[in-house]
Amino acid sequence: MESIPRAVYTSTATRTVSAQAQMEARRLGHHYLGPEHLLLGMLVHGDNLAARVLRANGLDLDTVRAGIDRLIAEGVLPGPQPSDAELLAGIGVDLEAVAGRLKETFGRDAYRQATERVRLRRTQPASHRAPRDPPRLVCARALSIAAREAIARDRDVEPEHLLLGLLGDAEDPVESEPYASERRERGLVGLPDHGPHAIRLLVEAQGLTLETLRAAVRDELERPA
Amino acid sequence: MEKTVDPEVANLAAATGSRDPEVGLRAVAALRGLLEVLEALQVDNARAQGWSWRDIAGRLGVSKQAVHQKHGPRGRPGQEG
Repeated sequence: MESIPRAVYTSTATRTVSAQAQMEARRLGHHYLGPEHLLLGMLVHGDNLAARVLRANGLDLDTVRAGIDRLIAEGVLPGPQPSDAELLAGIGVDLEAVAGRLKETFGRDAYRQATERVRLRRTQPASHRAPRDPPRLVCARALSIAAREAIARDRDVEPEHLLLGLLGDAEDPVESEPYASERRERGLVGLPDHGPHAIRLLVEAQGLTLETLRAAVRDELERPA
Repeated sequence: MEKTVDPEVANLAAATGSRDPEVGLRAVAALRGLLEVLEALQVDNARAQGWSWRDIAGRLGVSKQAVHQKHGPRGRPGQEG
């Protein structure tokens, strides 16, 4: 996987899409943020090029929501999950109290840094989510493609670049995932470690291909304003 | 139909000390994550207060090599040493 050539910013619309995606993840009881949530986020936001292309191709909000429910029923996507705090409450550990004490003793930053360091260890990595932390991103390859699409056009990352990222990422099956930390995270949140991407299944359920949708986005991007 | 998550479902799964491996194994992973963060914070703090790797390892009940490998400069991604 080639690296992203430079730092790139996200547009206001993309940040709104991301916030909507987080709400969709919460609604589904998911403690991760994946491509399927970002797709919903674009459609909930609605007023962006990505959403217009999706709707024009029959992928409106209701259709995608129904498609995601179907994938959950088929086990391609996980159902509602308990949070770390809820899991730990089940064995008698009050995570809120422990995390509060750690932040008080060592500081909020030290706690956050320790969490990241533990997660990124090469051997014996471990995942930890503090109560009310935002969900962890499980869409690194899609974001990396989106960043490069934006940079190639000398733009901030707009929802349409994000959509190109989701569609590009979905071309390859899950087992081709290049990031080891992402493979681990998929297991922890109950996502399958092989098979086609959820986005691919959602697109193909409408009788479309990833490539036709990508071409539609590119056409719109090249149309003079 | 709008699919909404009943928070009671998730809470119940956790609160009953479930025999469901899906819940039980996840709880183990969550506890291990918490334990590792706690250890990282305590080891950093001990080092900052001048404790030797040998003394830290002794209190943790592990070998000096183990604790140094995990918490020393090599165990920190993005840093060389």
